[in-house]
Amino acid sequence: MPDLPVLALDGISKSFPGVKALKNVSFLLEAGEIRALVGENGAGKSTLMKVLSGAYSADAGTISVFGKAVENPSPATMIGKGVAVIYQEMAQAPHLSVAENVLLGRLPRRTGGLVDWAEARRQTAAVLERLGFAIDPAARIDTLSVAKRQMVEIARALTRNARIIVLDEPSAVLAASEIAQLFAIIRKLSAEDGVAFVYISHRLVEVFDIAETVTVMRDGEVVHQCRTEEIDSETLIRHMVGREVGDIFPKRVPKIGEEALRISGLSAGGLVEDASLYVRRGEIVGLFGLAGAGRTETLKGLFGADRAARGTLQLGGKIVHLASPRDGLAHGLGLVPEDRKVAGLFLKQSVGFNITISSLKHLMAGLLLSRVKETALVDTIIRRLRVKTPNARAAVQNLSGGNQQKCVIGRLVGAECSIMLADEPTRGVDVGAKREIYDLLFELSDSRQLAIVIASSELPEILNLCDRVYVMREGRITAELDARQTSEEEVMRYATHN
Amino acid sequence: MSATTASRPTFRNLPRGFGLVIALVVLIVAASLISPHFLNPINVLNVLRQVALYGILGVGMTFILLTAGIDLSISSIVGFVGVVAATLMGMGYPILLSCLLAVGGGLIIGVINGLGIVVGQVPPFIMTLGSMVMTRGIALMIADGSTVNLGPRGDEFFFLGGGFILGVPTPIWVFALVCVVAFVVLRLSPFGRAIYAVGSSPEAARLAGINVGLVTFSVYLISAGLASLSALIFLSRLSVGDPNSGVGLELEAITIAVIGGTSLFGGEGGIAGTIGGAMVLAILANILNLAGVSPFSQQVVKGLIIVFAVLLEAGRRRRA
Repeated sequence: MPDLPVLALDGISKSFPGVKALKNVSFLLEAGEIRALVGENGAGKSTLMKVLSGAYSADAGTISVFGKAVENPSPATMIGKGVAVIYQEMAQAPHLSVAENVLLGRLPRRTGGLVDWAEARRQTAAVLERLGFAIDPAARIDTLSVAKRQMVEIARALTRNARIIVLDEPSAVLAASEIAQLFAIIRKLSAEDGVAFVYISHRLVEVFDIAETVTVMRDGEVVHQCRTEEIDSETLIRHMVGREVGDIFPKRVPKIGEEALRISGLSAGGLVEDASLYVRRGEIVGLFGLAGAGRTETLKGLFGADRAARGTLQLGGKIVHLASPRDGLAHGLGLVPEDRKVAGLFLKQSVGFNITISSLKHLMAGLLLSRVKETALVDTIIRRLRVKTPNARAAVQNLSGGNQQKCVIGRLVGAECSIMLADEPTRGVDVGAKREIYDLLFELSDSRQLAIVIASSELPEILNLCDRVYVMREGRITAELDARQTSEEEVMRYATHN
Repeated sequence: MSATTASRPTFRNLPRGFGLVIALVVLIVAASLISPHFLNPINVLNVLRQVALYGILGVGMTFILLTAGIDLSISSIVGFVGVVAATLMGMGYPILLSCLLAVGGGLIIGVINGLGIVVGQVPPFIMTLGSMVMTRGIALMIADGSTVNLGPRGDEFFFLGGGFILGVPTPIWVFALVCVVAFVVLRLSPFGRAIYAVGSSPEAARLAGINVGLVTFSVYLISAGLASLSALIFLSRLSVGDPNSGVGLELEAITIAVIGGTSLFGGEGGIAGTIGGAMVLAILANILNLAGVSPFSQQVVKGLIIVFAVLLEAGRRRRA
């Protein structure tokens, strides 16, 4: 490779009070190279990205673009140098048009200073066409799908002459066909225009699919770099977690007991129709379906979180009616919501607050809360669930995704739930933490005879974790399968039209 | 790229509310330098009485802001409750009965706010803006646009706002009691936790088994109740029911809570800060009075202080 690297990081370090977020990070990026950046949550990927975008300034080290060291990087200078960072939560103006977003801050002017809208649309259409993407430049951003919004971000980067594009988990919000489209564009820009990419992802399959080279980070350091054809996913995972994970799914023999929950004829969320299922104590039941199949709606309907839900619910053989989540909790049901940050956690509050909020009535001494009982419960949960936190008073938003999820699960354990409904419990959680959550669910199922329903769109998770699987399609349950007898193909057949 | 952000952990790790304590100390030192009268016991009690009068409203507003709501109607409740109590006393009803009935009237406004916001899903700003205008109108109707005399009971009633217990003005005792109860409720009761939960994320609160509607309804009732209480204190001090009293107090209460570190976006803050906020405002007003600054300039200074306080807080959060 004779060319000068388009991007060179040399010895980048960055500390926050109490944490060394980046330690001596170095890597090179050639023109047209597609480099994957992988690592568990907390490995330092996002910090590195913010250093690259100029949002953070590094404590030590240099960033060079086309061989020239960047002095005093700021977001403006980094954009000026051709570095574009596209975050997962895209920074767009939702009420403005595609053209306005693409050319934000650089709209073409007529003489006199008024915006030349025709020119703006023409420029936008040109760049979108170059991407091979059909989006109306006049459409409002908030009418577009997430995939299209991502294309708009890429288009914006291109109009700013970006030579280096950093993508932060772009596929997390995309469907399979959209990912293929995104990859096609990445390949095209890399091959035809020599744009270099840093592709951050949790999904190793994608890393092998799109990237030529891979950089693995752990605890703020680069622990491994190589070409993707020189490594397999087992080894990659080992570098990421720093230990042998073996099979990510633990094995167990379920001890199945009495029926815990049975619903017949559930309709919920304006989508689910006539769904019937049951789960026994000590059993883990999977609820699989593609996006829009009605998994979340079913769980919310079971939990009492959907007022319009209809159906006959039996808990331990007795017919009950749940009018609210409060009712659900009082009957021993617990929900781990899909959207952890909004519906699961109180981000502004402490770890202890998040753990105890559903079991305060057990923690009273007379009319007031007992600090002693509260501390005892929080400490027990933190220890049993191995929540990694400096202490119980730490803000929950500073925890990694996996540890946040443990707080949500811990809340239900503290509330002594006997039936747990978990909606995508490992979404946005890194490999090592996934395994810990699986272990935790197994442990709860075995030691507490918890009945667990897991809704998931990840097939390996469903098949390896669960004892029985219900498959949903368009709001209906289309199959009930033994997880040990069935195959991915069979489940997919019931989940799709074929 | 050298060490541009050499860490300043000493500044970052300061506990929340430290800035407020510093501000108070600076203000007190400055005040005693500016005027020898500041530390005079009579003046100190006067300042504390101001703290109490506005602080009670600040406490109510703290409950509201913690749920990410807002209550603009408290200023009109002060006028309305005062006029009702004055009218009843003027008609010869016993003091206690008059006060209870008037507070009941104030609570009805709280119920209307709560129902509109919880059941009608009207945004708190709009709902309480409406009830602010409406309540002021009712107060003016009852008083027929003029002031209402307390009659012969006024002298006895003066104790609430102007009297002393053990040498300390009565309103300060009332404020202290309100603060203790509010502090305990917010820190040590499930209801207090629920308030913080609702303010942090209503959806997470609902799924965690909290009755979000009831909690929200309750804080508007608490706010109206505390506004009614301070209405009686104002009435007692003025000795005359004025339908126009209390105008602008909602902003005073918001200022106190925000200076005290309570977030307008809910879930963050507390009573200790609110007490501090009330003290900052009262001492500031006192300094300006002692220094002979005109009331008009005082407003300018107060406005600047609000912005400055929020800027400091925002800076603290960015660093954190």
